[in-house]
Amino acid sequence: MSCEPFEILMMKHMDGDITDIEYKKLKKHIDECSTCKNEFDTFENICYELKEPLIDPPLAFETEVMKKLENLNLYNKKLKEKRILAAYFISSMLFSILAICIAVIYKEHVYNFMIYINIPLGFASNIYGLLERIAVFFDIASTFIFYLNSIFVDMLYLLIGLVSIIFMSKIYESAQVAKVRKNSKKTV
Amino acid sequence: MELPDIVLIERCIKGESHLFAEIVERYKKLIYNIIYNMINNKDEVNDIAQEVFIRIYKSLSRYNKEYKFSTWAAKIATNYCYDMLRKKKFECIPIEEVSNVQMDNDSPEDQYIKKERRERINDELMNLPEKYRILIVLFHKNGLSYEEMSQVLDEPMSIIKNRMYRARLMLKDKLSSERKEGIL
Repeated sequence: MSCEPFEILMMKHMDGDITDIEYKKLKKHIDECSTCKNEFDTFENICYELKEPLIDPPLAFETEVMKKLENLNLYNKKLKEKRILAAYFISSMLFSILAICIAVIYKEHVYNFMIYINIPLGFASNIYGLLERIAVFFDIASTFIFYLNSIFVDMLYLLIGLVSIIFMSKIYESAQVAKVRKNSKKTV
Repeated sequence: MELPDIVLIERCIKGESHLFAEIVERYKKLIYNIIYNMINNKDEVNDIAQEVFIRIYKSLSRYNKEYKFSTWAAKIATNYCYDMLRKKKFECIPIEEVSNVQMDNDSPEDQYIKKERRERINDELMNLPEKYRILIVLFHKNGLSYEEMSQVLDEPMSIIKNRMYRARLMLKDKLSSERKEGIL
């Protein structure tokens, strides 16, 4: 007689959803078949021993977890503070550059305004001179850039081409690396 | 009065992170025992369990109410164990005396035999491939249902049932070959 159906009954017994009739059937078979009796006993032992009381985590477990979480939050907070500081710094830089640019463009108005609110003439002229110098500097810089541009206009296209080739090859490389990683994961 | 899990979680997300301690208290035993039975190196169990709870905390906002919280937490623990096992093969360290609970009124000799038998079974459990071991751990040790296991492991019920069948047979075969050698 095949013992396979009884193996399934044993599984049901371990799952805890065997019916009374099935259990009687199983018992009867076990009394007659020594192989199945051995098997049944082993299963019973396994289930019994596996049901041993669960391990208790150490008493300080929660405290340790909460401590770690606190550190984590603290860390996040610090990071946030740093980011805010950086954003503040960059925006104030941009703002002052913008202010200088505007002042350079409207330097006559700035000068007139300073005279109007009774700022000493010497100081106002100094400021005006400074703005004038910045304006000249801007002029020189922009002419220089235009000059460079006219020389390198052909080189520029070449450069763009080169950069795009480098970029594409980088993308291809990273795709390859990802593929290799995936494969190695599969083999593991 | 005890707050239900979902209330605790929602309040945690809204910033009352100290309430997470209550969640840890409720589920530490489950998580600890899954990890204890999946990771061979017992020295690392505590650290891993803590790490799992930190992961749970970080992903609280992604908790899906349709799952029981225990199932969801067990899923995170299981995945983390798999990651750890994949990353490095833990050295096999023999399991120390596991239970500190005295058995009924057995004679010392019986107690010794029982202890020996339990160690054999736990040893063999540790030697099962992960995907079979986890089922035995979840069902027989932690008392999860088939449905919960299917959610934890993201596999259909039929596969879980089939795999459990094979896991038990593997464990039995290993132990009965030892029985022939007179150990059991």
